[in-house]
Amino acid sequence: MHVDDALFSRLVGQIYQAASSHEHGDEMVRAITLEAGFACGAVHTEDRKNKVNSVHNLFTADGDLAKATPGDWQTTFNRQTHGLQELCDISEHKRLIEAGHTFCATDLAPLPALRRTQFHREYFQQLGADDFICTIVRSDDDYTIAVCFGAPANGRPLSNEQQHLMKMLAPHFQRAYEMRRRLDEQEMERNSAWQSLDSLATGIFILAENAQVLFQNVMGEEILESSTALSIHQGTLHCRYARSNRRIQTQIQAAIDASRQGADMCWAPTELELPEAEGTRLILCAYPLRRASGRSHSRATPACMLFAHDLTQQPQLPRSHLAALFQLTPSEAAVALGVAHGLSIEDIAALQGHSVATCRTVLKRVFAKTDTGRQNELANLILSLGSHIGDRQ
Amino acid sequence: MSQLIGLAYECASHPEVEADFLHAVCTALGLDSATVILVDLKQRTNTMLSMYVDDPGVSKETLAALVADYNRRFSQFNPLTEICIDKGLLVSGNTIFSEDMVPHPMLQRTAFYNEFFQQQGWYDHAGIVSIADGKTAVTINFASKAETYPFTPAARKLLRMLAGHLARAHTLRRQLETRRVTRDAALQSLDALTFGLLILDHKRKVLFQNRPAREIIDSNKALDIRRRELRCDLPRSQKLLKDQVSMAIDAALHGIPMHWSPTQLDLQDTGQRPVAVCAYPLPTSGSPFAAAHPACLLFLRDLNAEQGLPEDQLIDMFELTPAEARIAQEIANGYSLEHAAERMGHTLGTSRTMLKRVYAKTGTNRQNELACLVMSLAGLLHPVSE
Repeated sequence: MHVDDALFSRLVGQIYQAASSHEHGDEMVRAITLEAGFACGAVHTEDRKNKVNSVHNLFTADGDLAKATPGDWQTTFNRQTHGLQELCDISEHKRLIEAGHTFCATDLAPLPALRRTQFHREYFQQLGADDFICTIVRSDDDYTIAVCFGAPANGRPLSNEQQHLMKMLAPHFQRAYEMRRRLDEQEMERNSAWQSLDSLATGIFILAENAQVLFQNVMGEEILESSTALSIHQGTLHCRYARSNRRIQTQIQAAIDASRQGADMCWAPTELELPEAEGTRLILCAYPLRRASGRSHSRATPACMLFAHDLTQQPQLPRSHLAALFQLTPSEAAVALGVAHGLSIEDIAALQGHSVATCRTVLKRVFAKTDTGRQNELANLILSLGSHIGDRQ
Repeated sequence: MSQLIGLAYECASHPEVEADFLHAVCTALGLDSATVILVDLKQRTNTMLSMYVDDPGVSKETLAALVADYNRRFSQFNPLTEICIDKGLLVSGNTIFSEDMVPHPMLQRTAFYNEFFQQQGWYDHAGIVSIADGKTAVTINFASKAETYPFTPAARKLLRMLAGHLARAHTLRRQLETRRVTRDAALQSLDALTFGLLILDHKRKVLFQNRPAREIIDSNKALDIRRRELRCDLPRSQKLLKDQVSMAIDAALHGIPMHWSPTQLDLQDTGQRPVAVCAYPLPTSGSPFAAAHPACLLFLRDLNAEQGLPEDQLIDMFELTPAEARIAQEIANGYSLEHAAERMGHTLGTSRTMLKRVYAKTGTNRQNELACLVMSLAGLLHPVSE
């Protein structure tokens, strides 16, 4: 193998491509293994707390060996994970496990000694490999991630060219890993924020600068499904009643403009004028989102958040939570919820099948347990717990 | 070579090193200057985003003035842009040499060449299309002052090699920025909620806290975030809090269903209402590439805070008078009519009449019903900006 600029450029490209799309990891390992004349390659992770090793993107140059599926190799590998731990421990002891570091098998122990280890015999040699080289891309208390390649078992150690190539690729592995880490973390944080929004009993839509809907939470979807008044048409929100639609669009546009100018907006909720047959009373309110600083290369810039609330929907508060919070009995919780939902004692009694007098007695106990003295005070307490404590999962 | 490619990718996560990258390319190829141009393929206009000149004597201000001058004079009028679009040269990863557009002698006769290129002392140029998506294209252009074969075969080869990397780097930059802005928008939306919300990672560290959470933590002496962990000074409450969070994180990490329920933290002994907390597990992906895994949502509610809808909102929505809105709010916040009358300096009779008008205008019949209406609206209509 001769490493010229063109080959180097190709391999570096593969590394960053794998950072950009998770699926490309296999292709990256394959390309480096074949082009640099290795016998096999893989990304190896060690969960340091649980002392669990696992292998990803495994590729073997030998066609016969490759017939075993990656799953089979993973199983073989897992059987040897204890043996591998020995090697991990030596590497750690020799302070080789450091992000950015590249080392060969011979840095751990002389090859003849390595060949006698169980891991080498039962896993590495099975893959047709002998000497190997690793680049550590991450190393902290939680995980070690290493990209590893094995030299063919032909009695010769790794060539100088192969070692040189891996040392040249090392900073690129690290930068690519850093990019992948940022992508993964941002995605997870976004998903957890979305999950929080999904737990709300209010519809929430996030709109881009061109008013396209970028996100809607579960309640938002429910509102769209349950009412024919509001729908998403060509990616933007529409109301089928012209006057109300104008109102929505004006609100949204004002919020988008405010976001663009970085201005605060005097926002006001608006109730849609819907015919009674629709069976819903929708209140909408648009807020501007602060824009990120700097020139954005992102395809769609979020600019507006729209709340949609269906007034005919009772706030949902599971009885069990209320009972847990204030140590209420089931019937006390039922009465407390009735009051919070704005019902009269007579209505609650009828619903529960109690007499009004019994209901009043129960309510008195609820007052005592919740440290409240009036129905509106009780309603305020329960409603301030918030309708988010509704299990939407 | 390795460093040059590295810098191309470094620009994706750190745009501020763009000048270093352009400098490195110019040095490697013996070129004099570089520009980054954004082309609007629909409008057929172009905007110069930045300019680099391989001359330490040229100040940042001079460069900014040159960029502004170009955008004023040539943004609508750059025949090269037109030619590139017509010839279909603006394809991601493509390298464009001037003869791909028009033979050099002809180029030299164009007004654009005379009025812009020559003014900078440029003779020839080459461009790399880093991204093109049907609506816009970004090109990175290099210019040379040397008249004799400025783009040698070796230089051409290097530029072609860089092109693929620049295209990929730009895709990565877009991915990074798109994820960042969508994440920020989602987190900002959480600031508008009326209750506190924290996102914790698998080690109980706070990854995010929304505005109400900050307010609750700031206003409660017993609550504190220390070393990125939410803590309570009172041992009993601290234990409850820790149990809630640990249970949710365990459920998240091991994918086991959780029977969760909210709990109360007594933070003072002054007979005030406590703070309610409730932890939910977040399923984690377990990607070894991420340093922190969001594993738990923690909801906080200060049961003392008045949560009613602001008065001006009530006035707008139900056409109430200011006094009626005030009374509606007092009732929603759980106070008695006597208390409201006293606070507003009215007789009980006047207050009662007013409340009746509020009932009529809001379509309610009882105090708890009015409280329910105002409170459920309040959850929706929390002001975002101070």
